[in-house]
Amino acid sequence: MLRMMKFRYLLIAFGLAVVSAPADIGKCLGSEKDEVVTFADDIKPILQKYCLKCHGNDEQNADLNLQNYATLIQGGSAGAVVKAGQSGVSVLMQAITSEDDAARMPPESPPLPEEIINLIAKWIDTGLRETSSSKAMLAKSTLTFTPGASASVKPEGPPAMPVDLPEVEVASTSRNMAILGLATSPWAPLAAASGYKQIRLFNTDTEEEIGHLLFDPGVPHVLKFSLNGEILMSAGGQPGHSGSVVLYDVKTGEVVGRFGDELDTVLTADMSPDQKLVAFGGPGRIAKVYSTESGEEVYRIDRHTDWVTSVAFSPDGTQIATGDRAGNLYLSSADNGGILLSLESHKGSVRGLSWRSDSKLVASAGDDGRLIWWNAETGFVAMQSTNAHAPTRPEGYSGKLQGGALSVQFRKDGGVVSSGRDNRVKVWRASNNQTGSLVLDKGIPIQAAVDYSDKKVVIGDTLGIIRFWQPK
Amino acid sequence: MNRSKLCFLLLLMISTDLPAQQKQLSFANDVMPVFFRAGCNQGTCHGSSRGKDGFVLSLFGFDKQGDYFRLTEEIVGRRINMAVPEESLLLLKATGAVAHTGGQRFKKDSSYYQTLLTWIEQGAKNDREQVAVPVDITIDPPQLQFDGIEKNTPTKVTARYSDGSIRDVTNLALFFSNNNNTASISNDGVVSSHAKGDTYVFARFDRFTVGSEVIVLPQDAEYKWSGMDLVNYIDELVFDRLEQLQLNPSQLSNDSEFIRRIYLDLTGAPPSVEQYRQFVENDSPNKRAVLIDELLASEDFTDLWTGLWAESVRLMGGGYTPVATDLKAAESYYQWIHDQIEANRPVNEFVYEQVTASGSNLTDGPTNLYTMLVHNVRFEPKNFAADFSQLFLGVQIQCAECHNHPFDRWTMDDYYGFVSFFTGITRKAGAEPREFYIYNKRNAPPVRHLVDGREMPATVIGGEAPIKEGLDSRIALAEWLTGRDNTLFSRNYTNRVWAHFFHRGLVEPVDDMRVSNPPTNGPLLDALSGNFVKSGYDLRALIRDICNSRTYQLSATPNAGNEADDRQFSRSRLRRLRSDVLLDSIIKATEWDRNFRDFPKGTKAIEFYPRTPGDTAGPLWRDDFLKLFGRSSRNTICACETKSEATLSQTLHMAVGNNVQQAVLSGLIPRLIEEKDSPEEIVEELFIRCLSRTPTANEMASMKGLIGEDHDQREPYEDILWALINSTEFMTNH
Repeated sequence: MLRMMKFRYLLIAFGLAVVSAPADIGKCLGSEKDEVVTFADDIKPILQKYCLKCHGNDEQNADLNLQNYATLIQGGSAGAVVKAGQSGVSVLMQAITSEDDAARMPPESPPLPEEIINLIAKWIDTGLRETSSSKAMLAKSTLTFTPGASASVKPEGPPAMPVDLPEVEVASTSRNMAILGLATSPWAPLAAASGYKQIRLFNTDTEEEIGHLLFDPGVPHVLKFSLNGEILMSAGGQPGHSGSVVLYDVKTGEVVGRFGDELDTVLTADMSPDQKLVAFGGPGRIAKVYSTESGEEVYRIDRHTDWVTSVAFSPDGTQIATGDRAGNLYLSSADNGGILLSLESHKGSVRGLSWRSDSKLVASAGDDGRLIWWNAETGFVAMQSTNAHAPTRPEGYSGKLQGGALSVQFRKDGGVVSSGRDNRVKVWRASNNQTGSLVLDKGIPIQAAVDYSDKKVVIGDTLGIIRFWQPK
Repeated sequence: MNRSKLCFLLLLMISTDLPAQQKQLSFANDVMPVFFRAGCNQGTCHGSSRGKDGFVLSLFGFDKQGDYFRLTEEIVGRRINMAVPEESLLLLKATGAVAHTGGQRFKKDSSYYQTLLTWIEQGAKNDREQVAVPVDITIDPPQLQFDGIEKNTPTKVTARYSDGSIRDVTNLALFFSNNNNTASISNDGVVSSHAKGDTYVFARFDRFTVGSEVIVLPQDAEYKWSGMDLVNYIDELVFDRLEQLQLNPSQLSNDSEFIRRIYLDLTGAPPSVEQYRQFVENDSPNKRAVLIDELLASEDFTDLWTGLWAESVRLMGGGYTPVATDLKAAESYYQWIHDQIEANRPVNEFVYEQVTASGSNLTDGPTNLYTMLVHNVRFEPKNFAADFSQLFLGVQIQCAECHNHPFDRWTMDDYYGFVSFFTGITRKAGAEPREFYIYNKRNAPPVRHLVDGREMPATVIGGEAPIKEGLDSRIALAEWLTGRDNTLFSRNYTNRVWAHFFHRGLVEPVDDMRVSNPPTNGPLLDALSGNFVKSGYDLRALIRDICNSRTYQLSATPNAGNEADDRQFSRSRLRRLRSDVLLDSIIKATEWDRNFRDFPKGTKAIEFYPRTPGDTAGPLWRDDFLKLFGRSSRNTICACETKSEATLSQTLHMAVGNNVQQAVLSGLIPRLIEEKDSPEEIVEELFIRCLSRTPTANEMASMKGLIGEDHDQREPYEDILWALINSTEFMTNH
């Protein structure tokens, strides 16, 4: 099933028709080996047993020699027989899985056992590795893009809103997916919220759901708009399995960039103001920074000791803030990842990070219930609210309580909006005075963001409900 | 703006229609047991305090609320996916569908998977109200006997809940065997017999462990009880057990075996030549019983048992005053213990007085129970709780500090309730620098529970309600501890005494009594304990019963069939002498005039305890011989501090070390050459001194060969004495 899912996404990525997996494919779930499949260790013995008599060093029917890695990759008289990452279109797979007894390989034999077919498919899909030390022949990013000239300022003309989004098929689920990621366009009445394998788009003026974008890597964990509102970044994946970052053109909904090939979901990501860098992190404890132009990794921040839970570039593009699950928070150079400052204070996971537009303050929200405004020049705490989102104590319970601030976002006026496990969304003045608070009757507000007008707060919760709130 | 046309398609096979009557699953009673059974919350996996691969569960599920939070809310949408339950990482990892360090814990078609999936489909809800909790579990059958090996019998585990309901939890329980070579138990609770013997298999569920005794006998074995006289109830119960296990006891020991054994066990040294001859030449049929009474009344017996008790409470003397373990304090405590043992003070009163003692460490000996248990500037209630429980009850309650005891019935509530007895134990400086007053501060606040911070008023272990307020907590503690109803106390003490005489407790180790470590002969421990209480906690009466039993007096020579028995007492066990008894034996056999550091001349090794000018924290021996031969360092109260394993250094020390050298050259040999008329007499005396027997004809012949014609030379005799001391026969009790 894993293999088939990945296979399906690849097809989507290459603009091919969506095929749904056969229902019985689930049977092989869990039976596949987790190790890397390689030519030397896994594939060669199979070929030796079934193929080399006719396609080996001694005899090369159809000019095809499968005995050596190089000649196998080279293919036969009809061209390549394997295509990295695409078992579905690889001739080798078609040959061994053909329904036609006369066409199927090996000739005049029953079909190869299912586990062998699965193994070969996995080898192709995971990038045709020769040995366990060789690199997969899969490109790290499948798309790159060129940032616009006015990436960090309000664009001329009307701000980007979706027009003519492509028709997409979105999965229906028994319950709503929790709103793990939520973002608002800085210039347009547009909000994006994560759903199951999709991004839900809302008009914040009409408060209506206006469209969907497919997010084929899985569940989006984080959503962000570029400073000019023209690019929507979404990152996420499948827990324990895969993760990546996808960039969309807001107007057309087209995928304009893809980065990362992670082994677990991406929990946090951000794009530099000039759109030239994409940074992301997750359970791997490393924040990776990719160039959007080359699609290559530029540098990585590997000083975190726990899951990377938040990353944010400063609006002036010089710094990157990264926070982890153990409460560590660092400011690093956005050019090379070199450490600038260590911001030590959080006792719990850093859940949210947001920069003030002048890049002088960065605010962090922590599972320890605190909101901290840091002076980005000195690394000292400028202001803080130690019980910004304190847990409420159930009656008769005297034990340890799980509290926590889950999100924080600066408003254009220098105030912030935050949300937390206390079921509250709060707005704060620039001077850290709390000015308003909304209590959700059920569901935990995972995300809260201010829309383009700087007046309306969009809230996403654990129940998958989007709320709009206009604080006084 | 053109609105996109949206097309909702069901791409995934999601079972939205639950069976109509599907009951709401409980997090505590349905979901948590799956984690337990699948091993998710074990100490080596997510139950580790730091979790595993970023995911923490409480060890064996002691913190259900915390586990619920971490599953559902810590990282929303990851571990539990409410939108697409099948894609919850919890399920993907557990079934091995994605890479999982712990591998596949269960299959997708298992009931465990179905339980977790259904619970998520039902909304991954926390238990709304107080759910019924398990109050007890049983395993059926409670006893199993196999006639033949490689046979299988299933067991069934049933849990009873606080609302009176009963549930078959066989598929949620964990199973283990105490001896897989005798009988193993599968994950599904099927017991298989493998070899002749007896053991226990156990089932664990929630916080309970229950055992079922398994006896494996060979098929169609020819066995006949050999018969043996019974002296008292001990023999009755031991021999019953032997017959049940198709074992026969060894022969009765002969007189020289017996006299050596009884002197070593009751006085801490072998008999002298006179003591030996007097006994062997006595024809009275009840001379063994008479000797036992005589030795029980001896000063040496008092010294031996004073030394043993002092060691168990970590008695030592220091010169660093702030910890209150001053030399004078140690002396006054030692003397007090000595007086109690000499007077045969009932053990319950003896302990009661120490537990409730208040006053000066220098003049009120028993108050030093507290100063000796915690060699620290500050009294730590948790240390007292752990030590009291281990020392007086044989229970290692400290396991329940961070989680419910994994192999016993004790919970964190039991632990913290017990710790609260000691929060008021205080000392304050006395009249002089060495002096401290130990007392119990009334109304000291209780400790708080680790998980939920509740105040835990003082409650006895296993008790349902806290002690009455206003009562001095130490009096309440002592009354419960030494009360007639507290079988933990009497069982612990009798088991320790038994272990002294058989070198193996009925429960072993003696300070690790728990449900999953049952006695090898339960009825015997019950009877010993019961008779001990009935006798008024009379130590000498208990020992008299043990030493007079045939069981104690059996030979160490095995018969055909009991060679492999090392737990049912069908023969005497070979045991290396305790370090101090070994040293006293060398001293007594050689008349060596040995000194002990900081002690007056004539002090025996068993009376010696460490005295240091400095701090008494940390391991202390103050005598290299005793250290080498495994005397307790007195660093902890663990019974394991006293070691009897043989090491190469010990062998080398016995062969060439200065202690044995000096002992051999002590002056005994010249005296014997002077006094005795023939080499035979000297050799015989040396044999009796060391081995409590006369040499065999062969031995005598070869000794004479060694001595040669010129029998006034010291060296050959010294060589013989050296060889005797280095023999296994000398170094062991048998």
